[in-house]
Amino acid sequence: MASDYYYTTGPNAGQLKPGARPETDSDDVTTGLPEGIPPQPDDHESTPYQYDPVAGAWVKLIY
Amino acid sequence: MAAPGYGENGSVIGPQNLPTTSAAPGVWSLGEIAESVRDGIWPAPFGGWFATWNPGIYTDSGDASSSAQIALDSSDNIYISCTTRDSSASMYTGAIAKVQSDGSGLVNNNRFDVESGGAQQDIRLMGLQVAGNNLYISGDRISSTAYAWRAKLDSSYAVQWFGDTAGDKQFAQSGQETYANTDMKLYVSPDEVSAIHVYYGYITAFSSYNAIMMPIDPATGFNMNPTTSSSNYYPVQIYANPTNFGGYVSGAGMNNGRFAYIGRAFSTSYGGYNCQYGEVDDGIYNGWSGMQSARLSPGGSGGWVNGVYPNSPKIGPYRATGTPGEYYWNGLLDITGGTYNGNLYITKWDPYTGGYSGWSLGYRYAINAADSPATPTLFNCESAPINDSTDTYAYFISRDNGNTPSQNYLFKHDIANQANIWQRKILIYRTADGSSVQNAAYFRDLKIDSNDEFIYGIASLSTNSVDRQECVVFKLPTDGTGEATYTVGDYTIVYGASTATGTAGDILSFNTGADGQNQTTHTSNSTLTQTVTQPTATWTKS
Repeated sequence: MASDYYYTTGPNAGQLKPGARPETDSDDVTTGLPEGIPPQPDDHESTPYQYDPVAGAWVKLIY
Repeated sequence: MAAPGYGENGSVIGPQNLPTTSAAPGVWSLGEIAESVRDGIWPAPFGGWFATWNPGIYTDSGDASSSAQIALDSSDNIYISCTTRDSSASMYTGAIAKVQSDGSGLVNNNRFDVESGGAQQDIRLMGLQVAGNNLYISGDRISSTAYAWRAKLDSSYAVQWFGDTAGDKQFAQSGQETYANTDMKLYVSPDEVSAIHVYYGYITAFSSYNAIMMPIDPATGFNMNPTTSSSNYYPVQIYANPTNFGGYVSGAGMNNGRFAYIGRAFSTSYGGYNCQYGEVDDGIYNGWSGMQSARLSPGGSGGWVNGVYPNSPKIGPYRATGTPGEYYWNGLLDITGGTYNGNLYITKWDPYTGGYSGWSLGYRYAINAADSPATPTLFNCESAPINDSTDTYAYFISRDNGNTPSQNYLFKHDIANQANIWQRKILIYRTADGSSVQNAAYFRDLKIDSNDEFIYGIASLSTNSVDRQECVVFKLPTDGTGEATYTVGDYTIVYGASTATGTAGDILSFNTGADGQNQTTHTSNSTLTQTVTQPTATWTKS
């Protein structure tokens, strides 16, 4: 079965065809935090955190 | 004196039948039925079990196990692993064991230590993959400077390789803390041709932790770039927009041809929190530019204010080989916000014919609060969905938020027909404390045997607000039998029917934007040594 998105034969088998990859915003790298989000914890460089939008707080991933 | 055989004198008169545990052909007389029941041949005896495993490494009060994993080799031998913590010494190390198939005991029990200059490292073992007859393990060192590690053991636990050609400690960026967990770990293809090491570390330019997906050679442990610089197998990194939110992988999977990842992700360009996912060949050829990656939101709307996103989504590969079967995935989403808040949603992704938006066969489960005394409101994703050998049925497990107690729910789901086959709740508590205090079991791994007869799971435990040394291991028939209350050492385990409401329907909306790039800051250094010893474990079976 042929695919509109992937090469199925030849040396590129399994690779995406040109134009098959969705547009990405990988060049759009911005830093900072939106208004209303509390600042990252002071130890955010040594300890990974993830922002929990339900709790409205940064939550440690390591205990 | 031997009992008379079927159709013999002293037995019963009737057609000769040859019942087995899985078949009962022919016309049966009542006598033959009675004899088969007497001999334990038919009905098939219950082959499942629950058990507890205490690795016996750190056994003082306050010590605990976590990050439990389970794997089967090509002969359905059962391997289990966990991290075990010495609370008084703030020390961690790894445990790996092999379990007898009937659950009657352990074949062996091992402690896996890592040393630097003769000093024990506080390492966590958080990934266990078995391919062929080899064990691929991975994890991190938790204290500063934290690093990720990976290793290959043979079935005798002899270390085949540890780390990379440039060093045994893996960092996302030189000098920066780097970690792992039970989702960000080493993935190996069943045919042992490819492997992707997922871990995460602090990236100074992004002011956050971000996941790296590193293609490696499972024969050597070496990363594919730049060791084989002409190969174009680039590691990739995902990140948020703005980058300060970090980029994490909450689920990943791999078969013999493809690799996929998924995670909750933030992007101001796409309404705040949503879900980013991607799919690529098992070597990540051409790196980020070769990865089909996009965003989705369950419920048709996004935005962190009225956030609609999966909290900890998982993804599991199909087991079909070749084209197009190996391109298929099952996504398992625990929906937060919106119309379907708290639902557990399973859906098939076919990027081969549908590209990034080729998701279909959606089916969502809504928890029934009446299934628990603690009135839970939502399902949490705990481990990736697994398929049987024909990709007909998917199995997955989810934990509710009841807390006093939290229960787990095991599902057998017909993918193509969008139907639930059966569902069971699993309640685990210390008998002495009862079920109405804090109780939670964290099932972070699920497996199925080669004959599609049994599923296997393992969980670390927190009961009565104490992290426990024991892990619970189960082997349960895929036909859903075995509903009962089991006593396993200090624990009571209730395995019974649940009544989550199921509804078929596709609810996802898609955005093309995804944030990622080739990862160029990773580094490896140092030489570590490894020691495998055999402590005495405690294994108790129901």
